[in-house]
Amino acid sequence: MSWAITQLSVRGVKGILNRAGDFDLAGGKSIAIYAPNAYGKSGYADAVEYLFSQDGAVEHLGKGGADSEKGGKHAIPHVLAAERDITPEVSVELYNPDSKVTMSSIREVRTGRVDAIPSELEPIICAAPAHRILRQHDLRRFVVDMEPRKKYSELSRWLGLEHLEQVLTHLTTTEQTLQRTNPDREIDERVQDITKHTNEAVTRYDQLATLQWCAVEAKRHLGIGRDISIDSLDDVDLCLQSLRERRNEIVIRQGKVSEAFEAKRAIEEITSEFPSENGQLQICETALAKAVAAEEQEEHIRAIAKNSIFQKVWNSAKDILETQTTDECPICLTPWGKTAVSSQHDALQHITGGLKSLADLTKAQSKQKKTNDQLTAVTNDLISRLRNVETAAKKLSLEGIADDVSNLAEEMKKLLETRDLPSQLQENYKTLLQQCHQLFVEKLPIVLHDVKIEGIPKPAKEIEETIEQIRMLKITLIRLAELQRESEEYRKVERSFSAVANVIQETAATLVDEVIKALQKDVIAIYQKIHPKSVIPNIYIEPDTESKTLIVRVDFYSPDRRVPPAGYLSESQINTLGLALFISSVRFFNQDFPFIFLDDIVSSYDADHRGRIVDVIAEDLLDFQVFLTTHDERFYSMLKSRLSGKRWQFERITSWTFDQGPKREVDALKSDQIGGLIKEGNAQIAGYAVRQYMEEWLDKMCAKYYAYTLHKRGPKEFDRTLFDLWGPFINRLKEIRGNFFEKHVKAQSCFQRVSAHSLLNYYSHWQANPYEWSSIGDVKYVFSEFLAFQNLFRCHSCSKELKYDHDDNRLYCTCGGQIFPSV
Amino acid sequence: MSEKINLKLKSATELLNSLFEQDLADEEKYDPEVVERIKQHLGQPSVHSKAGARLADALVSLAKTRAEEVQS
Repeated sequence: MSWAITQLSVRGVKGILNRAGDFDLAGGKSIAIYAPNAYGKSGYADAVEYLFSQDGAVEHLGKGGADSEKGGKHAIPHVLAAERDITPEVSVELYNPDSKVTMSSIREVRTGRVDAIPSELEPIICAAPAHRILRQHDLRRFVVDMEPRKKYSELSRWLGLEHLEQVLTHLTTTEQTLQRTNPDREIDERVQDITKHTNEAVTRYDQLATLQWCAVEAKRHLGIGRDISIDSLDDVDLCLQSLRERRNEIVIRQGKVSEAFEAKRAIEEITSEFPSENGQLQICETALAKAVAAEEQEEHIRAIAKNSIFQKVWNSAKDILETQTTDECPICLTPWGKTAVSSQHDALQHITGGLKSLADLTKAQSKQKKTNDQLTAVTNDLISRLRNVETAAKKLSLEGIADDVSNLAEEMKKLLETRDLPSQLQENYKTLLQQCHQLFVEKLPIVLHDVKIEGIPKPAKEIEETIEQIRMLKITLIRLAELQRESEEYRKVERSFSAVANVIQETAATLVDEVIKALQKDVIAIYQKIHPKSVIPNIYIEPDTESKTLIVRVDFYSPDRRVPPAGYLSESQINTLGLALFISSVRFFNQDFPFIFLDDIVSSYDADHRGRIVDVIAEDLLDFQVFLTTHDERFYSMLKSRLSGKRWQFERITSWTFDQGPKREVDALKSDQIGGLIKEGNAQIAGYAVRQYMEEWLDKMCAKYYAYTLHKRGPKEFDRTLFDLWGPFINRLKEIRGNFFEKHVKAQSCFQRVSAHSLLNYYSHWQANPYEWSSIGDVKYVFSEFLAFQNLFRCHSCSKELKYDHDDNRLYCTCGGQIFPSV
Repeated sequence: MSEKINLKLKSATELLNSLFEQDLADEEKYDPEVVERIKQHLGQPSVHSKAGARLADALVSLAKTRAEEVQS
């Protein structure tokens, strides 16, 4: 599917104000415009670049403010646009011959930062991402001026790899983040903790050595008679308990047990007991789980025994059914055959089953009550212990702890008072248990360690220090074990990630390499075409997807001398390399919208090379719609002679004024060239040329005969039709002296046929195709009649075009012969 | 020279999708949970500006979860 521009309109942009901005490019034809320097032709390139740019920028103007060196976006609108109440805008109509879809878009020039491409154009531009505007000063740009990173980014845009580039960048970020967050760093910090808490006796992560150190330290305090063995982390708690007991003994023996010491000891006991495997928190959690399970069991059995309300009836019926044989139900007196159970035996079984489920329900209810009572009891026990901690904390002036514990106790109590079923309260209950756990494991030990009790004997103080060291070592060893496992899993995940990332990175690199290889081949071929006589250097385009750079190199007279082109090639060779790269890129990447703008690209070339560039345009851009401007008349002539009649239109800008802009004129085809097109048989191309030929001739004749038309002569405007010229011209002929029209025109069959043709009555250029040429025969017919009509204005004697004397209002010829055939 | 070039590139999303569906779908060669997370964060047509950091977080979290599973 490929799009072509059918109409382009520029208003109030750069040097184009309100004339010469409309281009009728029906059928997706190309256009070449010749203009001397400073006639405003580059304004068309700026307008087109603006129209198709993603962010409303024209690169050579930059994005700076009105005072910036390049002019910025403020340089895009014509300076008189606001004054003349002209909205600066570029509009386009595109047609897709494959899908037969027409699309139009208007982009008003905005000078602010936010200026996104019209949404209807975006998919077309995204599908054709290569730069489509090439100017003389851009030729060196890719080859010389761009840094390798910028080149890569440009290439990436051409290839449509921006998304992939983003993905590759994110993969690198992930890789770096994974390296930074590696648990090994924390492992090192924890090993330092071990070194610190073992007084540098153990300097690495060695659980056995650390526990042995703990055992030796404990034995030092507990005495030779006490057998201390710490083989696992579980043994550490017993060791700590023994040490606390020893410390208490020492303090009590001294006979000076303070209230504060007792308070601290009480909290310590609860603190060490609470979070342990058989501690109060675990007891509560188990009781909750049992209560929830009993509740669920009771619900389940209750659903089975839902008919328990008939228990008394069933009991009576069962007695009868077990002792007597009956023909009918003893309760409702329905014959057995008509009951749901069908027989006495089945009825008895049914009743027995029902009674059993009632018995099960009773048991389940009893169990549920018991588990509920247990939950209440253990929770009350927990609350009571929390209150004890609260009291002890207050004695130690630990107000914050006292408040926290009090709140927890209060919340627990409230939860019990709701009398909700265990399943209803379990979420809040578990949250409270978790808060208790955090308080007793993470907060209280640290706070308690900082509580200094006066009057504690030195040996007891030393034991306290050892207790703290061993406690910290236990926490550190637990964390290290976790970190060790994390580290192993981390490495596995990291390795897996790298493997996947490598596949993506390598695939991207392969893709880029393959495309570059093809591009390189095309670039060399185009280069060769423009410089066939010189030594063709091997051109290397080398992308590096990892460093995101792209370098361009050439072999300079030797395969061993690979050099940057800027330093070794001539100016025209560098320009050719740039041109070849540009043309190849649009050929490769812009096939969905094959439109390019070549703005004055041949300045640095001599005549021979210009001729070869014409060959490249004619042959390698055959399927492209080209918008070309040039100030080189010879190049323009070469193009015209090569491409006239081949879906190309040729125009000249004949003047330019500041307050009006450029003035364009069509370089129409000559009649013999049109004859050639008719022979080729394409009704659309030949028909267009015929229409243009007629339009230009009538326009000229209107001017010559002073026929008043509503439209300005010269610039091509969309809303001018043949009828607008034909009508005034014929009316003017009727006024010429000597009854010229009546005698020599009106009766002519060519006049009657031409004027009757729908071509002259089809009053609208706004329609998609205002000139419906039904066949090449129709084109041939109209053209031959029009040529005959033209001959009415030639001298009968010498065949020269007749002259018109406006003052005398008559026709004449300088040959002096008879100008009209005898009537 | 004038041969018509018909090089239609896969879009990046198509390329990634085909990688995820083919090469990277080999569960013996590539960790499926890791692939899944990469796909989740980077395999969409629109990628978040912090997708790289988020992917790293997701992978760290995966490693932690696995470590906890090993412990239990």
